[in-house]
This record gives sequence, structure tokens and C-alpha cells, in this order.
Amino acid sequence: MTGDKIPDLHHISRLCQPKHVPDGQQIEASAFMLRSDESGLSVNWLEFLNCSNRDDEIDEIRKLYSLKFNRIGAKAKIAILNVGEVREKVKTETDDNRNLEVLHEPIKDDPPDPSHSEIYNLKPDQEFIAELIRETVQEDYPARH
Amino acid sequence: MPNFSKCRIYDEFEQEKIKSVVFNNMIKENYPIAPSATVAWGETSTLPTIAQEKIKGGVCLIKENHPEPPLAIVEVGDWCNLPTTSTTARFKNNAFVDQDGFEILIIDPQESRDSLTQENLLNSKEDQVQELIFRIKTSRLIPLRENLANRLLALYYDAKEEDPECVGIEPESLRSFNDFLLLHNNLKCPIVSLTPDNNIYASWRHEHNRVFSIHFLPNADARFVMFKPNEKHPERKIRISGSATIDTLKLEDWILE
Repeated sequence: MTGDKIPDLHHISRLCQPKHVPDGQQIEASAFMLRSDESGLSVNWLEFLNCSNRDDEIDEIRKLYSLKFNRIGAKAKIAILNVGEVREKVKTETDDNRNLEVLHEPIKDDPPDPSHSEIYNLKPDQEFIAELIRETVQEDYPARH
Repeated sequence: MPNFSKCRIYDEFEQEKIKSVVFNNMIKENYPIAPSATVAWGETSTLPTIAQEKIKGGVCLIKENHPEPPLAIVEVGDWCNLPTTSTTARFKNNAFVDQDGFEILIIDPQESRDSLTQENLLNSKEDQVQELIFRIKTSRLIPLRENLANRLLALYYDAKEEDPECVGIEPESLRSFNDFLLLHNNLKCPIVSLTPDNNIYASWRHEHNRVFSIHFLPNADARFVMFKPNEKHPERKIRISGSATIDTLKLEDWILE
């Protein structure tokens, strides 16, 4: 349901466009920053996809991205994060004990994105938060086959 | 004769005569400059018979809006008489404007060189971006110019691929980055990426989890993040962030050569 908290044990994926992966290998912190008109960082809730393993989850995410975005660059990557790890890292390593919220925000159409979720409270000081999130990336995959 | 779909010829700021050409957004240096100037366009096999015009003693900039434009050929002459700065006036040669979507601006520094600036010449933010990348590429004050210019050009294309309508790189952010590079000529090469707003984000990463990152904002401010080991308490880290103007940023020694 919209606004549900994603459990700490669950995982989320973030599309990192080529401009965030300058050498084609390493995802930069800029991948976890917001546009000036955004309030939350778009991610996808992997367990919501109800797949049996990570590879199937990634396949589902790739299919979704191919529908959702006009173009996925060859260097684009999918970063995998654990919700609890991200929240804990940011909470313990920020002066304001920042409490990130990772909420389920499904999109109904154009195209439907039922696992869509968002990370809130990245601002202020989003560069600092983004660098911390970057340190919690567990694994990454090419965003297209 | 070389083929150009988009071409600019520049003088190199305050010291040098024209010697470089931007060709299809790829910077080529030391392009041989002909003693007389010709601007022309048309099909590959017919050039330069479709249109041709002499330019006398100026810098020229061709902008094409056609998605698949015919070829253009540019040479420039009288370059020894060019003004010593790139601030010049311009006029449109109407004979060229309506053909195949090309707009050609011919600069005549002899007539009114003080009335317009180089920025006036740049008809769009994208032109500004390419101009700035070219500046970085050709600045002797930036030791890392070659790597950085190539990197910036790749980022520009990455951003355009993601969103063809976007500016590629936010020009004011890139301008700040350029200013920063000119202030510090002993930097190690940063990892440069773009933020979602297409601002420059430069990072230096080093062993022992050292990080120094700078977000170059379009308003000439910069936001920075620094992580480094706490030598007195090895189990802890020092983490600092803040904002500053680029000329007051205090850099860590380890990001300098």
C-alpha cells in the first residue's frame, strides 16, 4: 500500500545512469542525489516482486526500466541496497541522526510500477547522505542485458 | 578537404592565433588553417559548389539545427590579424541562414568588436557547455586538461543520451568547475560525474576510505564532503560537509600532486 514502510531486512534497487558511473565500473554518490524538484529518491522494492532469487528480480527490474525509460545507456547500472543497512548507516553517521524513510510508493500507470518506492529525508546536506548511501551498495548489475 | 557537420574555429583567448577546430564535438588540435577563408555546405560530392563565401579576418561559428545536416566546410583566413581576445561582434550573413536549416554567424571583428561578448555568440546553453569544455581542453593552466575534457565530453553525451532535451551539463556548474581547475593547478585527477540536475560532481577517493567530493552548484557556490580516518581514534572516521565559494574551499593535501 502507498506509504508503507519497507522492512529493514528487505532490499531496494536504484537505477544509476551512465552519468553516475563515469568509468563504467564504480557508481558515484551522485547516483543517490535528488533533482531539485524531487522530494524522494526513486527506488524499487525487490522483495515486492515476489521472485525466487536475485537474478529473477534483476530481470524484472530490467524489463521495467525498458518500459519506463526512453533510453538506458550501456554503462547504466542497478545498485542493490539493504534498507536497514542504509537507514542505520545514515542514522549513526550523521550529526542529526538522520532518519531516512523508505516507503512504498507504487505507480499505477504510464507504465505501472507496483514496486516503486522512495527514500525520503535526503535533504538537507544530500551530498553527505549520498556519500554514505554509496558506501552501503551491496552489489550492482548492468541495467540492460 | 575535411567534412564538418558542426564546426567552430576559435582563437585561443589572449595568447594565440586560431589553431584548433571542434569537429563533430570532438576536439582536434593543430588543424591546418588555410590562408583564405571559405564557408560552404552541400552534399559530400558537390562541396563546395552549392554555397561558398569568403570571410575576411574573423572568427566564424556555424550552428546547424538540421537533425541530419548536410556537410559544412570551414576554413578561416587572415588569422594573423585576429584580435587578441575572443570578444568580437557578429553579424548574420543572410545569404546562408535559410538554406538547409543552417544558421551561420560570421564575426567581423574589424567592424564592431567591442559591442558583443563571446557569450553573446553562444546561442544556447549547449553551445556554452561545448565552449567551456573546449576551454578546459586547451588551457595550459590545467595540467589535466586532456583527461578532463574527454571525460566531460563523455558525460555530456551520457546526459544527452539519457535525455536528449536536457542541456547535457549545466553550464554555470561547468563554469565553476573550470574556475576551480584554474585556481588549483596541482590537483590529482578527480572522478567526475553529474548530479541528477546535471551539475558537476567531482570526487577524489583514496586508500583508507578517504573521500573528498565537491558539488559545483550553478550559483558559483560549492558543497563539499570529506571523509577521512581519525588518526587518534582509528575505529572512528572524520566526516565533514559544508558549502563555500570555490575560491575558499580548503583542499586536503592528499588530493594534490
